[in-house]
Formats: sequence, structure tokens, C-alpha cells
Amino acid sequence: MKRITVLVMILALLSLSFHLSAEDTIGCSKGIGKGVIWPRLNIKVMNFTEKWSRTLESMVAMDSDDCGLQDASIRQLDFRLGYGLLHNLNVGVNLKYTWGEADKINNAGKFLSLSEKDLTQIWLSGQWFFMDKHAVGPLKHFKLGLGASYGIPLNDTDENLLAGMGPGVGQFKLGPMWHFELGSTGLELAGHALYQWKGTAREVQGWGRSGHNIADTLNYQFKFEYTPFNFMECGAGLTGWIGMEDDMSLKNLDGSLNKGYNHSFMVHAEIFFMGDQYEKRKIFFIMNIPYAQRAMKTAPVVWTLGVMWTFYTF
Amino acid sequence: MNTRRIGFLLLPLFLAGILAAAGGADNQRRRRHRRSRNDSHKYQRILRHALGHHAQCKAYSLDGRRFAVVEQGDERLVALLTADYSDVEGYRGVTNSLVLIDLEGVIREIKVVESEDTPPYVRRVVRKGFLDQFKGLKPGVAPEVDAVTGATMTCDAIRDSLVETMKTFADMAQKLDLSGPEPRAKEESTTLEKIE
Repeated sequence: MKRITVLVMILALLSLSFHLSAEDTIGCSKGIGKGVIWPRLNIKVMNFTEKWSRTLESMVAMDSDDCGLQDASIRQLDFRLGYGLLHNLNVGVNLKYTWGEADKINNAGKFLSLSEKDLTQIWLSGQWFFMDKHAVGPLKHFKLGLGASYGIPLNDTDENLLAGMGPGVGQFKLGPMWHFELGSTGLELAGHALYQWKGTAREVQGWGRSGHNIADTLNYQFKFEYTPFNFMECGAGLTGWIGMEDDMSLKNLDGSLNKGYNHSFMVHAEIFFMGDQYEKRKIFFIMNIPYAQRAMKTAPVVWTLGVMWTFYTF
Repeated sequence: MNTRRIGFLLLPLFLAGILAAAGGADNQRRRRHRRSRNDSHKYQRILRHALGHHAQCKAYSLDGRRFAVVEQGDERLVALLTADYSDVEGYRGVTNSLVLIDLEGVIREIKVVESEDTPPYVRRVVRKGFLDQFKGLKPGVAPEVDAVTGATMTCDAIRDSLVETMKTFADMAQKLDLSGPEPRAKEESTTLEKIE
């Protein structure tokens, strides 16, 4: 039984890579202690295969027609540096470096192959836990906090916007984050629900989102985590976002607008370099598999691979 | 086969792995803890390390519960490891403390000997003098101590395990005569063994 278990886990580990289990700019819903420096580096890979079709009013394969996007991919390197200011308050900064590639056919029928790379965003974030209890009823290690993050766009050159490296708008996230253990089962539940405000895109000729008000979203995550071995944690749950406004990139044939959404299963595995006593010194793999999505362009799987460490200054 | 299909094939495999691991794998921390509890050599080693190699120390087991009698100068003290008496967990697991009490049951010394919580936090707890607050605590008195900010779970676990240890040993002490050169069970039904 044990050998099969280990084999399954190793197979899964070897096979999978994964979207960040924690909120990618605000950080883990467990937070970090006072005086702890917390660097993290991860790479996220998205190969887009579907896009919104105005004529069919549904998601279609990217190369199913002879106009608009034909192929697109993004690789994003994300470096985050966090610091615990107080035992219940931590701050962080994210730098996102993005490689974007897109093949498209413009309105004149001309085929364009675009490829750009750039430092696209800086995010400043904070996390405050107003509830941090050893036990609350049947729940152990109960943490409830508020996370906020402000994203400053650095990628608003015409070339970067055309290559699909993001909308180039200011963004702000705010909402609750939680983490607790169910009794003494060792099964932990982590998650967040963040409202994400997004600004209005610049006008760029030939860009599908030119001048659009980028729709706000509600980002969510609910996941179970379990640590079967001292050296490993794994987890599974649901994650995604729900459009809170009509998305100007999701037009119907009659010109009406739709709200976007993306709902995914997520699984993750983490290997602790120094055992679970140092739970934030680890390498992690995350995979998001969407089961329902409506957006300007979508990827069938989002993979993330990352590493983080902690330095204790006290 | 596209990546989405691979993903959906791997998802049940991964979930099965989690379920199998959750069902089949005992909590490693507790298993490790139990091993150290049953290992008499490790017990002696911990005592020697915590008390110093020159300390005169004899270990015993009373109805399966371990304790040690320590001669310090003219004084006789009893050494207890809290993990023998308590399963209270902190942030990650059990913190095992060595507590030295005199024959009146007053705490004279307390040291952390091993912990499953994150080491920098445990070191911080010790460095901030959290353990010193317990010195002089009399039996039956609830400790009123200030936890170290940011390490409250470890502090609470140390405090609660100490309280459980003191309470359990107070009951055990009723069955023990520690006044002679060797400890002696007061009742024949009580099993007192020396740990070599």
C-alpha cells in the first residue's frame, strides 16, 4: 500500500506542473511571521488554444477562422519578495517579467507574428490577519485576514499590448483570505475571495482591447491541503474568476456584451527541502485545469513551477 | 493527445494519490514522536545532553511513565520530559521540554530539548526568556505567562504540555517514595522499573 502510494505521488509529481496555489501577488493565506524575509520565484506557462467568437457567440479554436488571433502563448517569470512587518502583517513586492507570442491575421488579411518580452508589472501588496487562533470550535490554526495588492503596469507599449502581454492597466485587489485545519485530521483548507478592479486600456490601432474598460473580476480559490509526509504537501481545489462587469472583448453578433468567467480544478504538490518544519522552504508545482471558461483567449492548462525560501532575521 | 486531455487524465491520478496518501500514510510527525518516546537509549541521551554528562542521573519507569532522579550537589531533583506526558501540539507538532522539579513539586528548571515546530521560532521562544517564567511555579498553580509575539502556538503548546506533565506526575508522586537512596513504590500494585 505504502509503495503504491509513494509511486502514485511520484508519478503525479513527475507528470504535473502547475497556477500558483497561493494568491500570486498577495502570497500564501497562512501569511508569514514577523521578521521573516520571504523570496519566491516562479514561472507560469500558458499556451492559449481558444478564443471568443463574436459570430458563433462561443469559445472556438483559435485557428478556426481566418481573422484575429491564430495562436498565442505567455511565459511569465514572477519574483516576489515578502517581509513580515508584524506577526499579523506582512508586505510584498512582485516583479513580473513576461514573454508573449501571438500570431494573428489583421482586418486587412495580413498575417502578423508578434513576439515581445518585457518587465510587465510591479505589484505592491499587504496582508493583515485580524484573526489568528489556535483553535475555533472544530477548526485548528484558524487564520482569517485581509489581503490587498496594487498592480502598476509597465507594459503599455503598443508592441507589448499587441503581443497579448496584458491589458497594460492599473489593477487593485482586495478581499478576505483564510486558512485552517479541520480538527486534528491534518487536512487544511485554504482560500481567498478577492475583488480585482481593472482600469481602462489605452487606444492602440489593431488591438482588440483598444480603449476598453477592462472588466473587474472576483477571483476565488478553495483548496484542501494535506501533508502525508514530512517532505511533501499536496492539495486540490477549485480556483478561478468571475467577471463582475460586461467584458467589451466578449461581444455578441448583435453588439451586446457578455461577462467572462474561468473556473478551474487545481492540484498542487510541494516538496519541502528541510522538512515541514520549514514549510516555506520548498519547490512547488501547480496545475490549473479549466472546466468552464469564457474569455478573450483561454488556455487548456496553466502550469506553474516555483521555488521559495525563508530567512529569519530575529 | 492535447494538453487539456493529459491534464484531465492526470487529475484523477493525482487526486487518487492524495486520497491514498491521506488514508495510508500516518502522520509522520506523530510517528517520529512515538519512536523517540519508546527509545530508552534516546531518553538517556537526551537527559545526558540536557543535564550535562557529569550529572548523576538515574532513569525509572512507573507504570510505563518515565522519570529520572537527578542529584545536583546536596539536592535531589526529578527530571521529566513533557513529551512522555503530553501530546499537545504547537504550530507543527510536539515540543519536548525537560522540566526539573524538586521534591516539593516546585519547578526549578525547564529547557526545550527537541521540537517539531519551526526551529527559528523555538529558538526565539527560548531566547526571549519564555521558559524562565515557569521557574518557581508550585504544584497546582496555573501558570500565568506571557507568550512570545509571533510564536504563540509554540508557547501555548509548551505551557499546556507542562501543565499536563505536572498534573500527571503529581498523581504519580503519590505512589512514590523518593526519600531513600533509590525510589520505591509505595504500593505493591505499582510497577517501578529502572531504565538502563
